[in-house]
Amino acid sequence: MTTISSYNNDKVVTGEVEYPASDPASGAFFQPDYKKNEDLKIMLDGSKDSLKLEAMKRIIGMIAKGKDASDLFPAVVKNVVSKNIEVKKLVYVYLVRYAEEQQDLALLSISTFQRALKDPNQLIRASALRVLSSIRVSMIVPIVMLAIRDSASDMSPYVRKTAAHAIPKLYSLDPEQKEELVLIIDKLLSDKAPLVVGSAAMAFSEVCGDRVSLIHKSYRKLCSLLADVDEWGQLALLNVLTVYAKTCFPDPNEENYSSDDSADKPFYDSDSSGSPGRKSAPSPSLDPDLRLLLRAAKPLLQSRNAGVVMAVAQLFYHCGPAQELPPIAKAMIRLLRAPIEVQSVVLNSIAALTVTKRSLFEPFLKSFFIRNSDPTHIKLLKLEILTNLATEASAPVVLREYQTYVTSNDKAFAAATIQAIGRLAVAIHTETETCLNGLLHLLSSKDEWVVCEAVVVVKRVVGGGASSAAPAVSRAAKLLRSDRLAGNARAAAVWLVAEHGASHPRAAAVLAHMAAAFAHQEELVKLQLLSLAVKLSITQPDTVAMCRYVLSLARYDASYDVRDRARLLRRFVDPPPGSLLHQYAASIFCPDKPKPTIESSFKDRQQYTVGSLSQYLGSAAAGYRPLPAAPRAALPAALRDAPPVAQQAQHDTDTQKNKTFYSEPDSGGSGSSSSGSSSSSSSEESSDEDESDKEEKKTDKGNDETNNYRLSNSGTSDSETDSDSSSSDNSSSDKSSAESSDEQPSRTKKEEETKPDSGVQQQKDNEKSNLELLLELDEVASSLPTMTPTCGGFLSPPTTTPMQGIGDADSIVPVGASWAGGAAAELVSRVRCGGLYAGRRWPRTPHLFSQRMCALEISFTNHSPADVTNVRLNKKTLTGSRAIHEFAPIPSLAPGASASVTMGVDFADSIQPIEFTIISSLGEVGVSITPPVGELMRAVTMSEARWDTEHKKLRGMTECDKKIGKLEDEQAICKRVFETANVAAVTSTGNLLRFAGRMMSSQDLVLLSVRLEPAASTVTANCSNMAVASLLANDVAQALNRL
Amino acid sequence: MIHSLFIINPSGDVFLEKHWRSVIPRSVCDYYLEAQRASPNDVPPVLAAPHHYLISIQRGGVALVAVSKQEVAPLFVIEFLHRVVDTFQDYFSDCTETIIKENYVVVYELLDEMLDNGFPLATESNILKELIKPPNILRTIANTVTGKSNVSSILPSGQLSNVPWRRSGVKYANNEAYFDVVEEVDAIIDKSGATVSAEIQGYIDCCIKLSGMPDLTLTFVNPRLFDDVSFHPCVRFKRWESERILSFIPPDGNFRLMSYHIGSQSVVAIPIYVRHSLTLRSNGDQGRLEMTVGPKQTMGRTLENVALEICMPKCVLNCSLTANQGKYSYDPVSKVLLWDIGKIELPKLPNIRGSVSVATGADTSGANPSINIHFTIPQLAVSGLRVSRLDMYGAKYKPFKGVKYITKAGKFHVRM
Repeated sequence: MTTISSYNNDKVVTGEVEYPASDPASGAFFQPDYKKNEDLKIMLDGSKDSLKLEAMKRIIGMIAKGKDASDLFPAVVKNVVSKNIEVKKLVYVYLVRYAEEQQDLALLSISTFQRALKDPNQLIRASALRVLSSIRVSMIVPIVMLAIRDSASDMSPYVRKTAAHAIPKLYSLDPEQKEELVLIIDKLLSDKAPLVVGSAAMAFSEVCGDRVSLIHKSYRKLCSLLADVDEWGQLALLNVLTVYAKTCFPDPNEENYSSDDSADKPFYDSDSSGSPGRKSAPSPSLDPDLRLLLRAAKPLLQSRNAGVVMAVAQLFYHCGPAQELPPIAKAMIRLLRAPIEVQSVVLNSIAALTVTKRSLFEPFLKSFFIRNSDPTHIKLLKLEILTNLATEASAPVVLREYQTYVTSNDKAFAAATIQAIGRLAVAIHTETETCLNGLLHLLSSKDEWVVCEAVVVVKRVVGGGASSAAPAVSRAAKLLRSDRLAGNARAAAVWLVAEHGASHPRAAAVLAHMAAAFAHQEELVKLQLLSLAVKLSITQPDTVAMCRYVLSLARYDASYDVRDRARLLRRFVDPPPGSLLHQYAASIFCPDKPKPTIESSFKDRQQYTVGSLSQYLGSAAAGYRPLPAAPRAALPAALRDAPPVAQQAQHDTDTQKNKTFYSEPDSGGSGSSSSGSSSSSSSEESSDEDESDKEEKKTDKGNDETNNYRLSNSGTSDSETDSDSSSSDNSSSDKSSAESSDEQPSRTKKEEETKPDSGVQQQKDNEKSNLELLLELDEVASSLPTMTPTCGGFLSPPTTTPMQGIGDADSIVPVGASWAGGAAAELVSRVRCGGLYAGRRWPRTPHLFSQRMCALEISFTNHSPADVTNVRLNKKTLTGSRAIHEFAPIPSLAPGASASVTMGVDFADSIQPIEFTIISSLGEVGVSITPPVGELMRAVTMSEARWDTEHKKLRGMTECDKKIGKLEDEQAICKRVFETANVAAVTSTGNLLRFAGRMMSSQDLVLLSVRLEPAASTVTANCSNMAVASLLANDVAQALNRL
Repeated sequence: MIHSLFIINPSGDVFLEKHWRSVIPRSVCDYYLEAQRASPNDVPPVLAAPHHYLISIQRGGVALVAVSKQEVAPLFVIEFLHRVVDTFQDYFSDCTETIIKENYVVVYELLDEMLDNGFPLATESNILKELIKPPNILRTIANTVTGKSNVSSILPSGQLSNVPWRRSGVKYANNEAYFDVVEEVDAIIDKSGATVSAEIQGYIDCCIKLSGMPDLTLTFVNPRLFDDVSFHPCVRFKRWESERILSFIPPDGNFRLMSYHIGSQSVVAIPIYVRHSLTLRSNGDQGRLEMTVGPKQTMGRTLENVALEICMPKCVLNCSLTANQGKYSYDPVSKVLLWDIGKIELPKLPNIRGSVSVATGADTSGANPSINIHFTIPQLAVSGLRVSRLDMYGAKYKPFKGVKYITKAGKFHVRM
């Protein structure tokens, strides 16, 4: 017993033996505040999951109620490793809430999340990333960055979605990560899963909403995915696409006359479909890509989510042609049936829209009629809309409604109605009289409130039409005499009399009546009385005495304003001798005044995006980005061509090439990638590319490569159908053929430029295969500054090194071979194959099919007396990752003729021979080719410094050197080296000749150097593939020894 | 995006708060409370505080206030808040202060799952129910015994499929599909009994308990009636556009398949009429009220649950009336006269008459009370809409199908 009680004394404040310490969840622990969380700590420290869960539930309860639970942090954070999923979840919730306050302790949990990020269960990976990125501790920024980058390429779309969500979190934690995050966003935007795209769009608008250029390449895909994305994603995506459309497409209503009258001028014809001819077809000038977006967005008007409907409305209003707006109006009207909060926002937007686009909502006038049960702010919005919508035709209906509203119990609403009647009176001239009569009728209402409001409004209306002033004046005069008006209204009535009734006989009587009680009037009324008195003294000279009386009353008034005004006005009534003021009094006090205009208070909300928070509030909210102005001319559509998915997809689709892309708009986003590049777009592309944003170096570079690639394709089609394709009806092929023929002369020149110092010239241009010819054609056509105009350039692997700036000295740049192919060696002797001779040569040009392939030129000569037909490659024996891309079969070879073809071989960086058979009408013959190691690489060049650093990395085992005899002639050495291996010289100083290359398959760097020393020279080869290094060193040493 | 959410009870206490980004002190709600105090029934849904924007909805006696620090589409937030309340109602069958307080852990887990960093993550009820099981006594007991938890450790398959609204592996012993076609008549009738405006707002609510992955098509006899429609995401829009049929793979359980609007352009039958006369004399202290209600254009159906709600002018102190059917009550504070009639059985027309006492000397000329009418008509869709057939593909069993029509008064308003 004693043991138990002492045990209890440690932990249980109540100290009662009846409460066993082993059951702390029993609720007996309502203790004084200073130890209130002890029990929770005990429960969390225990080993029972159920107790932990109970404790966590109570802690979450505290958080939910806003109580501070931060002192439990150490106890809670331990349980982040709990096996129980619910405990874990609750710990996550806790952690996210308090990590910011307890940064050091929070770091303890990070390793758990890092481990969970590798979990096979996608839900656990995702939730780990969620929590990790929600812990706002700046110390873990690099970890989160890494986690996001990994998760962005996770297999599970759910995890990728979470990664997209994490991006804005990291951005808000550390804005300096922006550039790197933008890269990830770019990647996620081109994701194919609808689940991911919506969140990626959200991340895009949160982090870099102004970088519209990121959208270009995935634009069509985004449009086609729009329908499949979940509703919240649709919302985010629509917002992004609206900004995009506004930035990239010219305003479709600009040159389109048909929309002008409905957009700008009030459109009195209530039937908006009155012009069937214009409406029948969408304006032809609409950009096809914009059309794609609008078509994809339109079904979303039928969404159950009001936010999505509004986002579509926003898109159509800001970017769509005016004649397509009516369905938008209809959908917005439908939203008026939604909960009151939605109504309020929608009405607000409609109110702003009706200021200019009245005709849009005119058919729905009755939907805005007001019920007594509406809340006041809804009533006021509807009233505003009704007033905006009223036309000459509908004004009687609206006025009849207003009559009912005026008698409403809701004072604010009744007052607004009177104001609205005033606006109608000014706006619609046919109704001015009716409105004024109605207002005058209200002047005699028994409700003072109504009367006061009415007087103020009458004052405004009468200012507009002087013809109807007389009855108003007499009514006002009557009211003034009966003393029933309150301050503002009384002042307005006096003004009314002064302004329009100065010659009215009753005016003097009014003045006399009011002057009698001058001292008791309000200040505003006194000021008006003064001007009435002066005006009267001008128009009715017999009242001057009364005017003087009023002025003298005002002279001793309590208000300095009144006294000042009196002193000023006295000069007009009792002019000092010699003053000219008196003569001009009439033109000063009774001039013709311009009509007042009463405008909708929603006019200035026009400037904000429809449906935005700023529009609702009528002022720009924090973080509000106005939509950019539409550009004058559309951005070239080619920017939006999706990059090709696989390069070979293009190879065999010559037939499709002349089809324009837009002939099948439905294939828009996803499908387009396969053949999305019509020849027209690609040829435009290259010229547009120069203008495109320089700041997007990465993406641009990526495009460059593909563009060039396509150019070569379009060239192919041209030359295969014979180079003179100007007769072809396709304008695009005209263009590209023109281009290619233009370039033809300059081509040779360029070649000379690029290979000025390689002594060996290409001997036999005419013998080259079509493909090669085109390759070079293409390389010339690409006049881009970013490209090295050599064969090596455009097929260089995109993954090799991060592409850096154009003039960056530190990059590794692929260059053309310094020595293009030696003499042909015999492959198949004429004896072996009944007269068909085959020779092979290493042209050292990159192979078109894959960058990993080494081009091998085979030239066939027919020494037999008959035609040899159908020369082709038959069986290939391949091991491992090796591959062969066959050459195009030669249909027939006349006696004595020869033809050359190029095949591509991926040797997988090994000099094992490849074997295949060549079959022809003369029979089949087996061939085996052993590549020299020097052909397995491609020449690259780099700065000397870079070479040295790379060299340092490849020391030790990966280095191999060979001693050779004394050498002196650098020129000769270089020539030998170039003959032996496809490497390029690196500008060198001193006695070390440096060369560099890159393996075809593995992309490993190969560094070769020759050290010239007085006694003996050394050849050193470095490559991470040791076999290659030693082989190369041997080969080069042998070649040099022959010198 | 939504930074924080506060749930406030009618007396102005914040009883739940949840932050998705940095903590925002709850004092920010004062701006909302201030506006609410100024006019309890007329709080604008969007309020601007100096550094925050408050977007709020009121439902079920509680107010949900979402706080954002920057520009955000107000409808996005409002729609989301409504979805939160819908989810609560789905889980706990109601959304009141007591129920939220009882289930704060589940509520917190739900909120955590629905929103990530202020952007919705999962809002489909089918997905949420797989992630976090709705509480019920049976499961609570089972969990205590077996040590299982309410929280799923695997990702619901729906999240990744292209039908995210349907959970997988649904099995029922009795396969049933029920459709309720509900139409609400919104109308304004003026003094003389003429219709000022009338519209029909319709819904098709479903309760679908079908095993497997059924693919349903619902065909209407007269689909041309619809003016404007909105659909649950499961409906294939292409087929609606081309063939005017609803083709969909339904979510499991209760959901709203479509809602439609038959607008003010088409003629809407008004199924009820009210003859009324109210005279309030300003000199005397007595006025007279007489009202008769009767059916009109009901196509032979009876009007049920008829109730009239009249907002009397301020000057009316009390009413002493006699009704030949139903009960009436008058609340002198809110000035609302409620007459609960019930079913109208012909040929007897419900009638109420009597005197009203008016405050002496009060101005009675400008008063224009209005009547709000409630009624339901079972087995009738007032627009004439009819479901022609329901076909099911993709499953072998024969489901039990049922369609129910009902017409109700929406905002049915008669001016006196």
